[in-house]
Amino acid sequence: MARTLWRALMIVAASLLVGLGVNAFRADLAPSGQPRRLPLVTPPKADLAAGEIVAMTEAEQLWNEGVAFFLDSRTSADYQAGHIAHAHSLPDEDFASRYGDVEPLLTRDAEIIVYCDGVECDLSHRLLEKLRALGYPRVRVLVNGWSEWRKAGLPTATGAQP
Amino acid sequence: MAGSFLAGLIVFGVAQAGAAPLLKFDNVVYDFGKTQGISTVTGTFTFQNDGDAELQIRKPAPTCGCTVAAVKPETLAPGAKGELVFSLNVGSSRGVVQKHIAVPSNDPVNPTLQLTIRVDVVQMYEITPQFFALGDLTPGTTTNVTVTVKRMDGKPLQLVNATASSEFVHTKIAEVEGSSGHASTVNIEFVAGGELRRFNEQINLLVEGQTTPISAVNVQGRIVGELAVTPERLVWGIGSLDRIPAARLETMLTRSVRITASKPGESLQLKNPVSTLKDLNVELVTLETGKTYMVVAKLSNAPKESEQGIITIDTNLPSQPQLQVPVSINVIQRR
Repeated sequence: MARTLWRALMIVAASLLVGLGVNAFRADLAPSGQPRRLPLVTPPKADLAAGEIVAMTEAEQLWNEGVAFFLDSRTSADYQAGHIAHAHSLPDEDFASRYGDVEPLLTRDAEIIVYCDGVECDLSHRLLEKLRALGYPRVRVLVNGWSEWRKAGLPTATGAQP
Repeated sequence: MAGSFLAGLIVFGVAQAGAAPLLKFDNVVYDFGKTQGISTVTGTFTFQNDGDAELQIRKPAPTCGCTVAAVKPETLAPGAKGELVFSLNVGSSRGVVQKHIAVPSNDPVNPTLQLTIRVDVVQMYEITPQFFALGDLTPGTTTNVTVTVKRMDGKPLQLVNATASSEFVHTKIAEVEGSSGHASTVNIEFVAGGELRRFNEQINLLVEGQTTPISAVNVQGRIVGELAVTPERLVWGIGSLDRIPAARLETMLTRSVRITASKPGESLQLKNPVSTLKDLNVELVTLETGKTYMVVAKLSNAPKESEQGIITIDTNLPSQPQLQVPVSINVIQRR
């Protein structure tokens, strides 16, 4: 009886060793047994030139210094739900009716940073094109701005006001 | 007997060691093809757990704020099926719109699976341009602009009305020659009448048999009178002064307003720039005598709290002896 029990214990131990051994050599599992964090699938690059993109660090610096106008190109509802603190709302969808709200604040040489949400969001790209066509050459896009800003823990605001 | 037991346990052990969930979607691309007259598309991706361990799906991550996605259920036993429901707001996009959703799970082989949504948006009507920025206009001037409206589905356009939002806008519709009734132009005439103001007029386009406009065209600008002020309001963000290089500090603490005479032949004279804000010093700089001036506003100290005030400047114009520029200083603080 004791011998049978001993054998059973040995079998269980052997099974555990086999299992741990297999896991140790599986490339798709991290040592903890959890899936390794593989890089996310790279989304297609937005059709923006280098000079049309502002890096997060520079955007943060300009925001800190208060020398750039941040324009949120998402819908009014998204803006009200949350936006970069002090950013003004200029939804690309309602550009024709809303441009007049921000125009009195701008000069043609104003530094303007536009953003939306998501690496594939093109609202800010379209807003950039419209503003440049209107004679604002210093417009740049903060790609995936809303998500990146929040991820960085930078100040945000809610409601209809900047 | 003991041998069978041993073999069974080893098989069991090996099977447990190799057990893994496997996320398999029936399709990873959802192609709506051509769509017309809609701003949002919705759809469902179906999937199942083809593995032999429990599958856990984490929150799907769309690559665009225009996409919303949710999975149900988030945990699937081997063989179980689930759905990922999404909606994509294409808004006023035209042409092929392609967005992605990343689906993270505990599938060890493919821990992040990418789904693709594709839609070819065909607008029923093409209106170019939809927006006109007329800039600064002097009272009494008339400006004409033209919009072209095309129906894109091969049917006649039948544009019957272009209704303006004010008495200062007049419209005239004409069919485009050779378009077989598929395209028309709308001539928009704006007369800079009434008070000095910023205007944003809307012209609604109506087609035969419909009571709601197919779209609208906006005409925007301002009537400036004898002088133009740019910007009309100073909205000024003041951030942390720590670690700011001296050259940039100057930029942070200084703003300027350009004032230009807009009436030909009139000599503009400005004097006595004054600010109602204690630490805001204002200086008048002549760029072109009688024509263009710059008011340079400089903060001697960065304010601790946000504040609002007014810069006033005296002019020689009987119609506007004093002009005012509102100032909003927003102190930007990290929380």
